[in-house]
Amino acid sequence: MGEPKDSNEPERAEPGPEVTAPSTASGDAPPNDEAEHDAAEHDDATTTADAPPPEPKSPDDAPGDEDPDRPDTADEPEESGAVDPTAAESRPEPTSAPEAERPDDDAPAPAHHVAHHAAHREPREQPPSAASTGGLRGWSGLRTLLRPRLNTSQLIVAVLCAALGFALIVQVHQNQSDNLSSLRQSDLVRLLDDVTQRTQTLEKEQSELTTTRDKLKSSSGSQQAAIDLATQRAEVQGILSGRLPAEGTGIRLTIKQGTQVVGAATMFNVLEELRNAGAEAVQVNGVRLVASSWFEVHGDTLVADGQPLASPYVWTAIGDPDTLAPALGIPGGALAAVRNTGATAEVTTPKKVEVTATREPGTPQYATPKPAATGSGS
Amino acid sequence: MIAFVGLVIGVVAGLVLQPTVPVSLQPYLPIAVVAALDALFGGLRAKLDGMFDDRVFLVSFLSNVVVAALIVFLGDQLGVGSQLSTAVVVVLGIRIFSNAAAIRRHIFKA
Repeated sequence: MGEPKDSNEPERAEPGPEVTAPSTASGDAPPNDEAEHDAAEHDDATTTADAPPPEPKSPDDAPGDEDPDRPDTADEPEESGAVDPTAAESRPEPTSAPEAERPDDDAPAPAHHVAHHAAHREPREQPPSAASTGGLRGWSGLRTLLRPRLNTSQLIVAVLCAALGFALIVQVHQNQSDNLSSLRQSDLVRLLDDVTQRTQTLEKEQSELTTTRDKLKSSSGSQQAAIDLATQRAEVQGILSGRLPAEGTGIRLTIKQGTQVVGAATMFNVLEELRNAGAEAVQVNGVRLVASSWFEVHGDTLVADGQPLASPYVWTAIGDPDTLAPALGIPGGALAAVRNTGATAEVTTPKKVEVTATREPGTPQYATPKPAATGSGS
Repeated sequence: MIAFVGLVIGVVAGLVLQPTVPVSLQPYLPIAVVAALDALFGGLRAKLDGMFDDRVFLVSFLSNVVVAALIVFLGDQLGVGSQLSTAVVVVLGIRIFSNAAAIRRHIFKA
């Protein structure tokens, strides 16, 4: 029985480990087969060979349905009382095996086998739908496969399948969640190099962009500073030139004219005194007095900057009241001269005075700004 | 049938528990899974062929896993880890395909 089995093995070897092993095992079996009909490891399929010869299984009976016939073979992987395990095994490969099998028939009970084969040849020669050959064929085979059986081997297989399913899901999850930790060192090094190169490129770009931004910022910043400075200067110049109204601490001087017109020079004296004392904005009776202001007397009327003034003349001057008030009151000063004309003068220091009169500064007609001197110019 | 139930139980357990793989095992787990799949397909084919033996299945399952992991480990030590891993996966894939073809021939007779 050894050789026929060996001749079978080349076909078995190709399918895979599980398939080759049984065939080698079956090589060991033959001595037992003659003794008993229960070999250790053959299928229900093989047991079909042992069914009484006059009962070839109906073509629709898959070998798996043999179970009712052989109580031993309730467990599919276990006892198959294959008398001719080789013949049974050959059935899954009818195309290649049968010729090799026929010599086998001689080894075990020859007559038995001949009868078996004679009986089984017909089913085999029936249309291919006859799935009575060994192994589990077709959907019935699948059905057999799926029939639940509870025994140790099935449990072992179930445990292994559970482990496989578990490991499969774990690996899938692992693969989805974290890619880097599963890479090899060489892959990681390559990845690191790529990332480093990209980092360098990006850093260079970043420094360039930062420089550009700083340049733009500084230019706009200096522009902004210039604008701020110009605005500030405009305010200052506005106040000083009389273009803008101003408010602040200062004094209010009320001069009530007497019988005599207060002279232009007297009025101008007051203005000068105020300026000397640091007045920054001065107005009288709604006329803003600036650098180019003048006083004149037309007949009986005092005129300032072309506007006639009427008594009482109310001066408003913004400055330090503690300087302005005493300055006006200097003996022999401006107010003394005013009083000499017969007018009364009164100085008050309200908390806040407002100089609301404004005037538009005129463009100089003759004077032009002198260009900035570079070095020692004349 | 019980085996199929076992597979489903394993899958459900994996989905529910969601464990993280220890770092030392991470390179070997995918190869082990593919090797186990090959053993499973081989067992299925053997069953359909009528030549199934549970002991053979158990031994082949475990040995496939161990040998595949060993080969990958050896490759890592030698510095050809990714190449050997690719080779192992290719071979296992070939075997899976041939087993699947045999199963298909059994079931569909085509």
